[in-house]
Amino acid sequence: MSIQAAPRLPLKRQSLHKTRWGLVISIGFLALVLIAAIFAPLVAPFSPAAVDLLRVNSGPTPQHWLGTDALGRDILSRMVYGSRTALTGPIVVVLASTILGLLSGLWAGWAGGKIDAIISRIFDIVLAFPALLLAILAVALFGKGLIAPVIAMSIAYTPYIGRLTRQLVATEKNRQYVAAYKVQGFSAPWIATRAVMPNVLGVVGSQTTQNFGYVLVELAALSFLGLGIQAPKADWGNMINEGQAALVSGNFLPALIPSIAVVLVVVAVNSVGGWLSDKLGDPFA
Amino acid sequence: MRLLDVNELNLDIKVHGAPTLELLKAVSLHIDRGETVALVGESGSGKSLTARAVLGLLPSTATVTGTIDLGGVQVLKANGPELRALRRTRAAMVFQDPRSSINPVRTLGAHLIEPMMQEPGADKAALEKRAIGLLASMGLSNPEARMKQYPHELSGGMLQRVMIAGALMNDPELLICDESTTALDVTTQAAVIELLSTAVQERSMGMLFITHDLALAASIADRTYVLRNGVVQEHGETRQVFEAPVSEYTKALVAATPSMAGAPKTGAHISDSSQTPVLRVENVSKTYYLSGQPPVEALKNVSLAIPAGGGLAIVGESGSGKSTLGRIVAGLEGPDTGEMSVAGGEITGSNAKERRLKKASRVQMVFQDPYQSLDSRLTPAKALQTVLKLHYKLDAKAMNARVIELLESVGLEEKHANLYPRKLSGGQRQRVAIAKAMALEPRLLVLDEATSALDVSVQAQVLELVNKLRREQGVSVLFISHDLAIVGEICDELLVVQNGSIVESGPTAQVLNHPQHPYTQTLLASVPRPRWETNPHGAAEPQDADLEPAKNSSL
Amino acid sequence: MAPPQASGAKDPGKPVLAGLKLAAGKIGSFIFTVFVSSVIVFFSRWLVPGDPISFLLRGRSPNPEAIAEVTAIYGLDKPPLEQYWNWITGVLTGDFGRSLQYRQDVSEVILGRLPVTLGLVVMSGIMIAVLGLAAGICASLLRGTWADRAIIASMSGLAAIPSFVGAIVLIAIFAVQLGMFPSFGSGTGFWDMIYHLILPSLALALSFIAVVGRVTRSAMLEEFSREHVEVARSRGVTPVAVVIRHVLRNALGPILTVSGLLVAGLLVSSAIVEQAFGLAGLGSLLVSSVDRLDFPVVQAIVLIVVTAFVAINTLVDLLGPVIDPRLKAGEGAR
Repeated sequence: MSIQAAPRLPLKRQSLHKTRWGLVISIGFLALVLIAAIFAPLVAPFSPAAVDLLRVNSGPTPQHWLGTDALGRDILSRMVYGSRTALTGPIVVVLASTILGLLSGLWAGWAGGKIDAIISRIFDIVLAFPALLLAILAVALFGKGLIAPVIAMSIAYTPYIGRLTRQLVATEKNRQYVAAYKVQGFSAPWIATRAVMPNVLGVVGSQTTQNFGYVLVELAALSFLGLGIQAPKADWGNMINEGQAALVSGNFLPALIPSIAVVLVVVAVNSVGGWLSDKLGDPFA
Repeated sequence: MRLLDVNELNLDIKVHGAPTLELLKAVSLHIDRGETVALVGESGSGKSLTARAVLGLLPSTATVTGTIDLGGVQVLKANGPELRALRRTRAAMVFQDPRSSINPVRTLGAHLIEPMMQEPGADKAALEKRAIGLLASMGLSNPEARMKQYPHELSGGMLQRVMIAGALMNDPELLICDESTTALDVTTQAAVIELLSTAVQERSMGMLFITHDLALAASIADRTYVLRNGVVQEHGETRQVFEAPVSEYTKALVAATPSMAGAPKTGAHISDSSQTPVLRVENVSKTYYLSGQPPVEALKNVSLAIPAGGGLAIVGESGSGKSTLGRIVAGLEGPDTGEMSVAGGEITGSNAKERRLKKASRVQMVFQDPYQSLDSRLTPAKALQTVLKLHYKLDAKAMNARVIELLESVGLEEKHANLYPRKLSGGQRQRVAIAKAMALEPRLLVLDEATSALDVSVQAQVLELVNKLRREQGVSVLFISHDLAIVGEICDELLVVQNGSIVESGPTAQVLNHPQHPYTQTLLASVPRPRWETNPHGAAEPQDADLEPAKNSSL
Repeated sequence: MAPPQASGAKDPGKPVLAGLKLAAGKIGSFIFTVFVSSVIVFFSRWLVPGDPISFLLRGRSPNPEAIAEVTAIYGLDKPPLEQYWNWITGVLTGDFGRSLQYRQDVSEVILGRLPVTLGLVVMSGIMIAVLGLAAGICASLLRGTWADRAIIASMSGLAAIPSFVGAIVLIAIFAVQLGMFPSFGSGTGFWDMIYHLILPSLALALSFIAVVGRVTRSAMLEEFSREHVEVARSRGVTPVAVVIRHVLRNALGPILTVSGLLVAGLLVSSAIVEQAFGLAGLGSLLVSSVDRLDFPVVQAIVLIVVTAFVAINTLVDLLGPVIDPRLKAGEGAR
């Protein structure tokens, strides 16, 4: 059936030659945080646990650029060490959930039928548990720390990737190019992994970076609630928790600095993610 | 007396960071009261923009100069309320795709009376009564009940009748049809065209009929304008434009339009019936079971054969089962019952891979939409290499030579080899798809509506390419199409299917010139013919709209 | 009298029947999901190595009386399936067992905490709906202008503010600096509670307002681009009517679907806000129960949150066909 394409008007599209300053700053900032996390002992001016009761809640000084907290510990040093747990948790969760989700989603979407029904049903049940709730349940069972919540959240985030992948693969499977590959004698596993998968990765990648932000926030929330990383170990979440007491006395820095760090990392990751999904989703633009 | 006068209309679209697009250049056209005027052009010619400009529906990024006078109103100078009054009462438009033209979450009744309800002092009961009357005059049974139905409960042809009823709600002086029958099956198209001409005559409305199909324009319009790249190439009495075109472009367009080229042609007889047939299908049936819906019998006991080197066309409307047949022949689906063999003999092999490859080297397929059938991540060269690597052991040099040879055999040049599909035109993409299919030197090539998404001039070139491949490489062709007018160009045998069964078959010329089955006769009568030619098969029988099955897309 | 049905159209009885069947299927899958969730919540205890008595008595003195008491209350000497049966039949009659921490029925403890959490969730729900929809609709109507860009930018900023950060900032500004609102507790009496809950609900709502705003904007823009909108314009329908009847009306479906999914985040994040503002709600009860190893309470709250979340999404699903008649016919949504 011949259908004339409606006249297409050119879409407004970001000029390729224009530098995206937001993106450059985001990448720079993330690189900075990553370097700080990896080389924390070299970067941090003080030990994160060094208590100095003579200089409590000091505010910025030449020695303590970001001031000290209620126990006189250097906030900058605690921020630097805190970035380690802030980044490791999300990285592990995102990697694990993306791999699991891609595989199960590809399987469900490609196979269809009963396998699809079973996998989708499992996704539905896991989705009934909000990630943070599952993490709290894991803490209740296995005790506080990073390991139990990270495992729980890896499970909780798998269906987000899995459902998306499944839906994309199921749509993609019915496209003519897949039929064209079949007619030419390519095997189903070859088509699924070599032809369909790359076309799906762009969208999944965008969801993955978004998940990174969510997981970072949720793990920080867990330690803010006192259920994650335990004091005296430095983590952005428990720093906010500890800094909250000083808030009432008008001393905002101890709580505000880790708060700002969380927000900035999430914004930066989302900005890089947006760019990445544009790139992966439409590599020929 | 002039109803519409478009004078020196220029339309530019300027988007930040992109060069200005001059979409319409000094377009002038006029329509008198009671006159039907066709505006013909291929995709991108600016015909739809012209139609929208008449109603003042222009993108906000557009710069327009010139004048549009519609019954004394200066459209380009009119303000919002004036434009709305104009659209409600003086001019109405019927769009291409009825399925997306009506809000899916509102009832048809709400759609029909909506604009007139906004006039001061509107009487809902009177409007509904009028709408019901119009639905009845459009050949829809039970119009009262239709008012409460939702768009998804009706077929495309029925919806287009509802759209026309909606356009006629307040007796417009001008009716604009923008590819209004393009999405419909040929018999439905004929019935809708009939309705439109009746409505126009009864009300002595003016009509601006926009189409890509010259033959369709010839069947309905008094005068015709030919538009290309925003420039009017030619205009005049329709018959004169078609029989004595002046501009080169119009000449080429007329030549490329299949049914305009005179009596149905028949393809070259190059089949050799002494050998075993290249394709044999015996008593194949296929039924689809969709959850929550009655089972669809896509094919019922279909048998056919193609002799070596032969060309067989399968013609039918959407839902006839023709595409299912193509998919079964290409091995994309298995038949429920029945036998099929390609290139004689069973496909044997020690393992699944060998059988797959053997099967692929016997039959290949070219799909309808060249924008979907190519993997957007692969350049033509890469796509061909991927296929060749799977089937042959070639060293780098031989591979390269073969890729170039294949591209040249479908009329592409070396410079196209490394362009991504998005940089290729529709015709070029379809050539790449054909090259990919021919890379395996198959005995049988299945073409499933392979030219129907293309502009007519491109379609003509692709058909010629297929003929060339048939002559030079002796490949047999199974050509699946909805378009009776083009099958004669490449096929010597023709098979007409309806509702999953073969209703008629025989040599192409014989079936086209002496159709036996009533359905074939209806199909042929529905092919648009110039008004000045007498119809050899009698007038198209007006069909009851309710007989159209609600279509799901061709299975 | 029912109007005569058109030939070729569907039998009038059928859509209703199909609709009922669809609804029954959705309610069935709701029951199934909640059932499996209860199994997971109950048997999760078996994932922990060691015997259940010492698990339940973690952090408490394991003297013989305590052991005997716990064994008796939770029926730990019975087979696991019977334990589950006793628990789930109890839950269905409102008996969630006994809290180790409070030495009270779990249901009593929970009932005492419910009003604050409900107030918090309802208040921020209203803020999210009103502000999110308004921002999204405004942005879509003003698309391409500086106002649209300003709304998009502020929503991107808001979306990145987690509830604990929002809480910190709001406390710093409105409670400490300006002294306009209390920073702690839920007050006494209804109106005082509302007053106390304004800052917490706002902290909870911030990032969700941004999400709803963005979804609304893109759903509106998507519907704006549909052909039937241009058709309506071409027929002289006024801009206001086009926006309300053809754009907003059709955008409601996707907005509602996303909103249903947000409820999960809302329910869980309320724990964070309650902690930050010292509110005695379900969330802070969950946290303190985890802290004090009061597993029966944790189990109960997790099950309640999961059930509430699944129930709301089932409700959204059931509303679907009302908003989009195509869903009633069992056809795929858009």
